Amino acid sequence: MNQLLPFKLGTEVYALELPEIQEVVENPQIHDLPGAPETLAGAIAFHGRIVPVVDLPLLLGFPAGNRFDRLIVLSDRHGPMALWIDQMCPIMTLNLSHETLSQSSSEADCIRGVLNCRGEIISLLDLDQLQAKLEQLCAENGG
Amino acid sequence: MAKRVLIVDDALFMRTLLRDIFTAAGWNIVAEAENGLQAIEQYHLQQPDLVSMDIVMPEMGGIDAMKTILSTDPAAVVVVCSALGQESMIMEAIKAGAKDFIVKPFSDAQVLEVIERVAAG
Amino acid sequence: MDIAKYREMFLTEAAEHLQNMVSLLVELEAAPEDRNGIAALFREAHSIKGMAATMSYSATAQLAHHLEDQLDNCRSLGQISSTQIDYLLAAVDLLEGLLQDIRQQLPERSVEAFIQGEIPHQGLELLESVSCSEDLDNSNLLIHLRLEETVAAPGPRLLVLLKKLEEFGRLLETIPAEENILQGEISRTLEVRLKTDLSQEQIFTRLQKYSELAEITFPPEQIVEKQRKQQAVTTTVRVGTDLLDHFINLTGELITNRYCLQTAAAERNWSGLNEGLGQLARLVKNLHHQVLQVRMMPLATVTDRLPRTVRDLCRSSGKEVEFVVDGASIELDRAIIEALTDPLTHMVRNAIDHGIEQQGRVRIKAWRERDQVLIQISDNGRGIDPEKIRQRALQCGLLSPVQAENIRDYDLYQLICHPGFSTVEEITETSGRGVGMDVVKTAVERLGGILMIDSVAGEGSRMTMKLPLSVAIVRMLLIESAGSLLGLPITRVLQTLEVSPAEVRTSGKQLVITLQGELLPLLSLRKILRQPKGQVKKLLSLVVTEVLGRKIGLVVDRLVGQQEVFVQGLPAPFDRLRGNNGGAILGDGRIMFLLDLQPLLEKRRKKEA
Repeated sequence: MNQLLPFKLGTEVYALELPEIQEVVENPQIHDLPGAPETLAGAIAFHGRIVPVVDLPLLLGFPAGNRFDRLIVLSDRHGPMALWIDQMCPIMTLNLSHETLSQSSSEADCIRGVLNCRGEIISLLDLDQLQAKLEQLCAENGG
Repeated sequence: MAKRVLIVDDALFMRTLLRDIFTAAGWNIVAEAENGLQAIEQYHLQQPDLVSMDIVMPEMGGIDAMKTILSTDPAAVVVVCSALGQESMIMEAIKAGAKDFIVKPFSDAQVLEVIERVAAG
Repeated sequence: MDIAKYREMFLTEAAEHLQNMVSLLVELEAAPEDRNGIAALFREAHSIKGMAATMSYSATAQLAHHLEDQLDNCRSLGQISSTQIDYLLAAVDLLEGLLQDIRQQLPERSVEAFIQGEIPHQGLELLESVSCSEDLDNSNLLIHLRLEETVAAPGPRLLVLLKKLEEFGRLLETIPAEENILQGEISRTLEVRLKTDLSQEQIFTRLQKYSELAEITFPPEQIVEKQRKQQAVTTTVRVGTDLLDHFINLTGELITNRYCLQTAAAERNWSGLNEGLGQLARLVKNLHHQVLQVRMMPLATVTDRLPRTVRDLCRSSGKEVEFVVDGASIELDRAIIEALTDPLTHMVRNAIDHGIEQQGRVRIKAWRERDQVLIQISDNGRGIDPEKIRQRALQCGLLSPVQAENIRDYDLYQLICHPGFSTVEEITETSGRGVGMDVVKTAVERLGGILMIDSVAGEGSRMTMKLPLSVAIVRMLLIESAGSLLGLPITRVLQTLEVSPAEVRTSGKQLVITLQGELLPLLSLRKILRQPKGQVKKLLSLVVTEVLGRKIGLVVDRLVGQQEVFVQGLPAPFDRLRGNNGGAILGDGRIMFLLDLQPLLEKRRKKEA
C-alpha cells in the first residue's frame, strides 16, 4: 500500500508519496531571496538550514491564487527545498499499481502519472522532472 | 536425513512460531532454549546443523552465547533473530560470526529463504 | 581492508615530502655544496620510498628508490650539479603525477623510461603504459549490488553480503567500507572490487539466492571510476593531539552542562537555567574557536610552492630574481588558503613577467591587523605605466575622455582588474596560461576581502590583499531593502553615511554626491534588485563600497547594524543563482542573504549595452 499526500494547485489535484516528504511546515516565515526569479518565493529557516521555497503553482503555470499557509519540505534526496502549494488535502492510502496509474502524456509537465480515485483525477508530481526544471531555471538566472 | 535445528528464544510465542515454520519445511527441532546458557548446553548435547538465536534474552544474551559456541565449534552455523531497530546489535553479531539474520516481525518465506541459504553453505 | 583511509594519509604525507624536496632543490641551486641540504633531500626520497613500498605502489617506490641512488652519489661527492637539479625536479614532477594516479585510483604511470634517462613529456605517452599494470588484471571484478527498498535492516544485510563476498575471493575495496556500515552509514547499494578466480556467472548464481537484492550488476571499470572521483573530494588535515584533548574536555563540559540544564528545567529553577545558559554560551564560543583553529593553515602552505615557480620563470625568461617571503607563518582558514593558491601564483608571475626587467626582487609580506590578514606582493621593477592604462581604458570604453583626464593614478591602477583588460600587447607564455587580474580580484572579493593596487613608475608595484581570517564566520553590515535583509561583509564597506536629498546632483544620467572632493555615483539597491520604488525620505542612507574597481554609493532603505554571522551556501541548484553567495540565519530566525553586487551590476550593464 502507498500513502499519498494530495494537494491543490489551482483547481487541479496533485500528490506526493509520503516518503518523498520530510516535513510539512505550518505558518512559515518566508524570507525574500533578492534577485531571484519570481518562481522562487524565498527561503525559510528550517532546523538551522536555509531552505529555498519554490512557488509550485507559478512554476507549473497556474494562475496566482491564494497560497496556503503550509509548505511541503521535500526529503533530502530532492532538496533540501520546500514547495509552496495552494491547498492541502487529507492523506490517503491506496495501492499504486500499474492499473490505477496511467502514464503522463507529456514529459515536461512534471507529472509521473495520473490516477483516477473515485472520480477525482490526481496527478503524481515527478520530482526528478521538477528538479531538472529548477536546474534549468537557476542556470538561466545564473551569474 | 532431515536437518537438525536448535531454537533459542526467551518468548514461548516466538519459539512456537519458529517451530511451526521449521517443521513445515521438514526440519527436525532437536531442542529449544530460553536463554544463552541453555543454548550453549543444548548445542553441545545435540550438535545441531543450525541454531536460530534470539539476541536479547535474560541470563545470557544471544551474542555471548554464540561467541561461546563458536569458540568451541568454529563451524557452528548460527542465524540471529532480532527486532527491527537493533541493527547495531545485528551487525555486532555478524562481526562475531553469525551467518545471517532474521528481523522480527518476519514472514514464513523470509525465514525459509535465510535458513535454506545458510544450510546450503 | 579499508585501504582508502591509508591511501589518504599516504597522499597527504607524500605530498609534503615532495614539497620539501622542491624547496630543498631550489635552495641547493644557490648553494650546491650544502651537504646538509643534500642529506635532507636524500632523507625525503627515502621516506617516500618506504611509504610507497608499504602501500605497494611499486612504480612510485621504484622511482623514489632511483632518486635515492642518485642522491647517494651526490652525498658522497659532496655537491649537486645544476643538471642534476633539473633532473631531480623533473623526477619530482613525475612523482606528483604518480600521486595523482593513486589519488584517482588509476594504475600508476610507467617510470621505466624516465629511469632509463628519457625525461617524459606530459600527457599522451604516459597513458599508453596503462595496460601493463597488474591493477587491471583479469581477476579483478567490479560488482554492484542494490538492495530492495523493502529490506528492513539494510546495514546488517550489506554486512552479510560483504562476508559472503569475502568467501569468493579477496575484497580490494568496498563502497561503503565495512567500517562505515558498522558505524551506521545508511546505504542500499554496495560497490565491491573483488579479486577472485570465480567467473561472473558463478558469482551471479550465488548472489541470486538473496531475494533482498534488487540488482546484481558487473559495471565496467570507468563508471565506477567516475563515481569514486566524486567521492574523493574530502581531504585530510593533521590535528595536534593537544587540540583533540581540548575537544574531549569541552565535550565533557558540554555533557555536564546539559545535565545542569535538564535538572534546572525539571525543577523550574530559573536562576539555574540562566546560569546554565551562560555557561553554554561560553562553551559554544570556546568550541567555535577551537574548531576554527583546526581549520587554520599557515600561509607557507602556498608560498612554499612559489620558489619553484620563480626558479622556472627565471630559467625561461633569463631574468635574475631574488624571491623573499616574510610572515609565511601567519595562519588563515584553509578555505582561504586554498582559494589564494592561484591568485598568489599569478601575481608573482606577473611581477616577474611584467614588472622586473632584468634583475630584481619580488617579495611577499604577510601580517595581521586585528581580525584581518594583509598579504602584499611587491616588486622593484618598472612599475605600472598609468599612461598605458589610460589609453587602454579609453580604447575599451571603460572611461570617457573627461573621466580619463581627471582620474587619479591610484584609481587607474585598479582598472587592470577589469575583465578583459590587458596592457601587454604580446602575451607571453607565462601570463598566457595563468589567470587574469580580474580573476585575482574576484577570488579575493569572494572571500570577503579587498585588493588594492599601487605603483610608482620606475620603482615597482605593490598589490595588497586584505582578507578575513576565516570564511565561515564573517562580520557583516546588515542592510534593509524593501523588507529584505541583506548583508555586506564589513571588509567591503568603505564608509556608511546619511545625506540629505538636497546634496544629490545629476551628472549626465547619473545621480552623484560630492564626497571628500570627489564625485561619487549613487546606485539604488532597490533598483539593482528590481524591487519596487521606495518612499522619499528625509535622509538617504548610503553604503560606500567598491565594485568593478569603482567607488559607488549604494542607496539603501536602512542600515540595520553590524553582526557576526555564520554563512551557509544555498543548496544546489539554487547556489547558481546570480548574485547569491549564500546567507545566514540570525538569532531571531530571520534570514540574511549575502549581497554580491558585481554579478548583479554586470548583468545590468549587459542589458543596457
